[in-house]
Amino acid sequence: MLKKNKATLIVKNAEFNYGNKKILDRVSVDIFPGEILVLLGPNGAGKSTLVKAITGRVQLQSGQISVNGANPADSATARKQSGLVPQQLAIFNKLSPLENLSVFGHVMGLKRRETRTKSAQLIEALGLQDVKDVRSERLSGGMKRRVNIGAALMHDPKLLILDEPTVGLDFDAQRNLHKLLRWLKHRNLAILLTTHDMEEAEQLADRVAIIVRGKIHDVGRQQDLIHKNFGEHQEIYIKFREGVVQRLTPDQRVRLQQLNLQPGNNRNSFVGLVSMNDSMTIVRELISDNALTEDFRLHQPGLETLLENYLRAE
Amino acid sequence: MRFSIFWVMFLSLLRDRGALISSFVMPATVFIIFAVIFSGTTGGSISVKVSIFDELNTIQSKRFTNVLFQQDGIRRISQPSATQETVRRLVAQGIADVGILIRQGEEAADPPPFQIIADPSREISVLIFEGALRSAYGRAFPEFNLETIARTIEKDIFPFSREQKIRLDQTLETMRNSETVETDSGSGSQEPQLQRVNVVGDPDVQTGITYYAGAVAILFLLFSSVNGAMSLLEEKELGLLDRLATGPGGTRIIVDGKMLFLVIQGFIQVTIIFLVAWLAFDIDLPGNLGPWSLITLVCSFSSSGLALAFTLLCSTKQQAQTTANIVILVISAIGGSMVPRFLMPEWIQTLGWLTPNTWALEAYGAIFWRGDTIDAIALPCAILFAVGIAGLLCAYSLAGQTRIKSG
Repeated sequence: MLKKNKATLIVKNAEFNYGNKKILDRVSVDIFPGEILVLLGPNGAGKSTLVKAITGRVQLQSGQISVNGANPADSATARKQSGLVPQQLAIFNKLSPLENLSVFGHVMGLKRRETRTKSAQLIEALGLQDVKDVRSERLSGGMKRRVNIGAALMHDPKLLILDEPTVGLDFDAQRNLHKLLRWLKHRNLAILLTTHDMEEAEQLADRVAIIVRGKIHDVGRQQDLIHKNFGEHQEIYIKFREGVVQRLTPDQRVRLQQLNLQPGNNRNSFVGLVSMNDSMTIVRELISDNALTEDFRLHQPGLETLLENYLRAE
Repeated sequence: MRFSIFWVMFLSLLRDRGALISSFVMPATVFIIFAVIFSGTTGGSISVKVSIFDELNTIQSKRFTNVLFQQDGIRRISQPSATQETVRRLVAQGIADVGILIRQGEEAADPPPFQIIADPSREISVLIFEGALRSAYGRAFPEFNLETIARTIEKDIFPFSREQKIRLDQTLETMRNSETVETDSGSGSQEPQLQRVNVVGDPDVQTGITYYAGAVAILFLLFSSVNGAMSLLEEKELGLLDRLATGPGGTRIIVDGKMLFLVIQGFIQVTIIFLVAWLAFDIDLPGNLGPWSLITLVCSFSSSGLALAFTLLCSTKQQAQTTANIVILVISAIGGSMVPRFLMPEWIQTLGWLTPNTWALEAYGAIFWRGDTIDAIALPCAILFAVGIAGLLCAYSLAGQTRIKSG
């Protein structure tokens, strides 16, 4: 349904090198209105550079980027189509939320009356009415994050880019922020989100793009990607009781090796991916005896496993 | 435990090149610069630039001139066509520290009266020159001493015989016509006739007030501009610069906005200094409001442009702070914000023309001290403006590079 619209952001074969190092290697990705695309990748994968290229702060060596049809590196109009929410709280601490929003409105080229109207609307939409005139340095982390996002929305961008927006937030503040992002998505904004928080990605992503060493390895709905990579396999976690591993029978040991289970985070635990049939066998042969196992979990692989899978492949 | 903390500090210092230079290289460098500047002020190596017009143009006056300029620390400045007016103009413009006119006495045999053309703001130079003049006078005109002594003896002790008088006259004549000076001719007791004329300065204003109003103004302009410009580094660290740079105006509008603020802040700061100078020390600010405003504006523009470029060359606020303190103190010392330039060794005075301080002092001095017309401030203002533009262009470029490098 989403793809019936024209993509707000189109990145095609984007390449950027810093010296001899390839930072972006023929990256292609797109985002549609009303869609949240989560960019997943380890540190140094090229996420920040891609964000900088999309916001026009890095000139690509080759490839194309268009935001609503224009290249942000060349066109001020294209830059006005996107709003950036950096990872840091990039707001003026000595100014109040209302003053901050006004400043960012003016910087983005809004006229005085538009700025006044828009900032008042956003203050209300972001739930900042009670603190709109309080200096930002006196606000809570969650409130500051809202101002941080509001500053990027002042000029009504079509594309909102958020770089790790929930870092350091408590659970409630994080939940409120997710609510806000969903609300923005329903207002037809195309949203690009970079995060290390897999749970957050799983909750918010309509599609996920996996980037490792400057290359986009896969883009798609998370279920599709997981199915494509793991099929019907399940993720398994077994923790044996203390001393049991040493007492396993030779048959049981062979079985563990056949299943290709890897040692987990302690000497008594094992993790791995197993087929439905194998999981039944394990349950039958190892787990049925409660005296052997302390913990056992079987679930569908998530984004974390997916990313680890790509990292291992690299 | 204590040693561990010591070790951490030692390694931190060892691995911070900037801190190492600030701690161990810069102090010695700053000491050398200040030592050279201040040793000049104590008179040891001061050089007084003198403009001279010899109206008399006789063998005696030429002899005097030669003796005068053979003295240590007295330097004749080159002047293609010397006239009284040239001498006055060179002193008034600050090109010469002091001027001397050798004039015709009432009778040919009379000692020549001297007119010293002075700038009261360079009183030390005038005093040094007067001492040198007296010494040269005694050595250059020994006949005046001899004649005075002979007349005293003849009048008060015994009259000379005809033969003695003839020999005395012959000796005096020989001495008058001699082009050379005997090395043992001594300093003599005859005092030269000196007349002093001040060609610049407002008699109501204390010497040095106008100089230091300008000197302090440009010094603090540099400090406050750098402090203001450092907000760029804070904003960079907070990610604000990245965010603002994504706007339609890019990094350029950020630099422009900062520049505008710094220029206005600087203008207000200098205004306060000169208001105090006007109200408390009678500097004629209302009478020079137009030229003063122009100079203050270009000074502020220049220091703001330089501050923005300088700040963007630094990577952190701490680095900018440390470096700025050192750089501003050094260029202000060289440029004359701490010690009047004419007291410095010649080569530092020349170096001073590379600093905004010297040009600012030149411009403020022209209107408040020398009472020059607006033409006199055209060159300093043009140079300060050009420096500001260069700084601004450099800041645009560096802000743009920050944008690319951050990728």
